Amino acid sequence: MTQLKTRAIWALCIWSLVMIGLCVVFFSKGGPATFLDGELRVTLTRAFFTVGIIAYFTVLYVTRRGKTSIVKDERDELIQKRSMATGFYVVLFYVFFFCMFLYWFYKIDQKSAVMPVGWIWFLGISCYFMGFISRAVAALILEKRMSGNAE
Amino acid sequence: MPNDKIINHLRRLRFENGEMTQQELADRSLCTRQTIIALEQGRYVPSLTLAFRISDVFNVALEDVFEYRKA
Repeated sequence: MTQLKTRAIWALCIWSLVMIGLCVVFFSKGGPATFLDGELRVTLTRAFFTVGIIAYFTVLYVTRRGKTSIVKDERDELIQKRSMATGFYVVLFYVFFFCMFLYWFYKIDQKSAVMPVGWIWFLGISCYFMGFISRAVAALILEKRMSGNAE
Repeated sequence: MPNDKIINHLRRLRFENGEMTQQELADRSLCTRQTIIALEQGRYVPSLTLAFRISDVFNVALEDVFEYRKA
């Protein structure tokens, strides 16, 4: 297995778990409206974030050398480049649709809506995870199916 | 965009060179086995540098490994 694939699988596992954890904490016990009421839930999401970062960088360190002598070649670099671009567009669409959803959801009852500020926390932190997840998924798909020429 | 094709004879050349494994070819041409697999399946066209390295491994001319077919 190439370094690229190993890292993508690990990234997908780590950030998916962190994202699930974030969603569970955020949407439980009253959801976004009560998210900032107590310190516990915010601290928990911070802890998920920190654990995710530490785990991810540990994987990067452990997999800095592949099993074979060639760690990365031109095709891997191309996959990496394309998956980065895919990740960028996924995050772009995610933020756009998320904001549109919030706008649509909170504008129904009143013209000047009061939106729980917890949503901003969720959007900020989740688009970071979405970037990693979408990049890892794109890398795995491209690794399996990519066809094209070297650049 | 023209639909030109570049095909290769890697599988045949490996067979003719003592059934060289994909891993061995990858190691000698400084790329990963996955790239050799993609090349053999026609899913990837390598850079000129890699193409020259591969032809060097088999000790043949570049056009003996890769073939250009006009659409």
